[in-house]
Amino acid sequence: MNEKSSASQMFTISKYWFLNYLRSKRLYVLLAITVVISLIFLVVIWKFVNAEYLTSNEYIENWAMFVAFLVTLAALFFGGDAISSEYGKKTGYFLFPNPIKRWSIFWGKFFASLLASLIALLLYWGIALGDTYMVKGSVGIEAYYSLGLSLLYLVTILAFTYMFSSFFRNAAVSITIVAILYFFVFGIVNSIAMFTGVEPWFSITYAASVIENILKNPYPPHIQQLHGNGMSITVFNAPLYMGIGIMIGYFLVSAVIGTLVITYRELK
Amino acid sequence: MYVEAVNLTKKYANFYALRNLNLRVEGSKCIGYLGPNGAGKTTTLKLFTNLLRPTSGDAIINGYDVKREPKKALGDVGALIETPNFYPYLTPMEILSIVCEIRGVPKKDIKESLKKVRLYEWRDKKVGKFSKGMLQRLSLASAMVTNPSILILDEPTTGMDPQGMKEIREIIKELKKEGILIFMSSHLLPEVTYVCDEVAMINRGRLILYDSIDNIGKEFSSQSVVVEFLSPVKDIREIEKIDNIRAVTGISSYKLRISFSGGAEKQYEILSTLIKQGYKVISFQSESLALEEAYVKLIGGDNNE
Repeated sequence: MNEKSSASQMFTISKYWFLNYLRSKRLYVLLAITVVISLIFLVVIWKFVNAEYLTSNEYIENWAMFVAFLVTLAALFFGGDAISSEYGKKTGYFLFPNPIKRWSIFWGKFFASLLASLIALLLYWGIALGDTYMVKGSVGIEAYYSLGLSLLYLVTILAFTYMFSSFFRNAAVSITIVAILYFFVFGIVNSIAMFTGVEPWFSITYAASVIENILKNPYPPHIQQLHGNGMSITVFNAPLYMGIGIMIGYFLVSAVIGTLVITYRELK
Repeated sequence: MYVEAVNLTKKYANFYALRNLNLRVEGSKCIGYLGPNGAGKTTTLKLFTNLLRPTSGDAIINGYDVKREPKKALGDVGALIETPNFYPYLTPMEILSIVCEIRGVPKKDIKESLKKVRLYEWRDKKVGKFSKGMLQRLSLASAMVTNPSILILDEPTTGMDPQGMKEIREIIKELKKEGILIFMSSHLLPEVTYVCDEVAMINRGRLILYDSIDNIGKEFSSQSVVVEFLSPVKDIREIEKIDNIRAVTGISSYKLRISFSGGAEKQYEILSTLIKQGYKVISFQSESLALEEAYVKLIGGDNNE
């Protein structure tokens, strides 16, 4: 028998895992959610935002506000159970005894999830950019930077979700924990940071603020002290390179840990 | 082609699931791997298929250590461990395509494999709706679709109806003719006797017997037969007087279990004598209990559960 390269095996896993997504209708559900939210945004922005007084970047910032949420949703949809199901639902008994490195399975699935998430994210950005062009007549280069940052955020969040998925056997547990982290824990951490004055450089959602901030002119200051009613708070805005650095750091750490866990974790 | 365990040990906290197993099976034959629940059978097979990592020792297939070189070690191995699940929205054709593509093998035998396990009619249905028996059949198909030289099967007839069990045994017997090495765990002694050439028996993580079915037959055979008569037997003492008969026990007035000493030749003489003495024998059935005898003698009531 010819020994297939790990890259080629990874492609095989990607192909069939993506096919599984298509048949499971998960992708269509996320696309439907994306379209519905886009339609709501179109109506709300057209009705309540006076585009006449906004620049192109300020206008598309309304759209960019939702990007982080959409990315998180996509990561939960496609990454939450991707690895845990191999253990919890016993699909690992089918795949693991084959002559394939476990990391090929991890990254094969990761790329399928990334492709599925990208379709939803690019659809959203397509609508956002199209709407901005129609209303403002032009799209600033910063909008494309924002798009690029949202892609980086997607890769990071997906890797982070995959890492958690590799820790657990039960898909519901991994999805719930990751959702709680994204929607509550990081939010609380960011709020605590405002009151304590400690910069939340370890928070991925803090880093994600660069997706919106890149559209602001001027770029918001890194640290702002606000005083009032006898109290003071500190508003942190991650500088662009810090935001990118945090995301890359999260990606690298998640990727290494996730790969190691699936490589050494036993299927008992 | 061979599968070898060298001081293979798997320990969980203070419990040894497998302790210093040394076993080498090779050649084109079928080896039954027997033992009570918790003896370490599945642990051994999982160590050979890279699902578990040994605490110490080596699981070696065709010269390659499974832990260090899993791709090479498992390159020519088909495996069925427990009852796997498959990606629910894929079809059997696609499931077997994954296996072929991963192993770089043409897909020409996919349909034939599905026909063998009687899933051909279901080839384009999503596997998410399959019963346990069907999943087991699909697992066997995925193990053999690439025509590997070695098959590692963990209780391959589990979850199947009697007809399905029979079919799987016949498939395994057919595979033996193709000259492959089959290493198969089972709870079912008649199944092992019917399908396998050799038996390895373990208990509490240790190997306690490895021999051919024939040798086990010689060593442990209970040498008893069940004889059925047309009319009730009035006095079994008359039968006990026949040469080489050690004991006669009544199962019913029409049916007796006769224990004797000697081989097939003596068995023939006993039957002839019974008929000569006017007993109307309507059936005369050997009880192939050798493996059961060996199992009971070596493991007995030593239940690990």
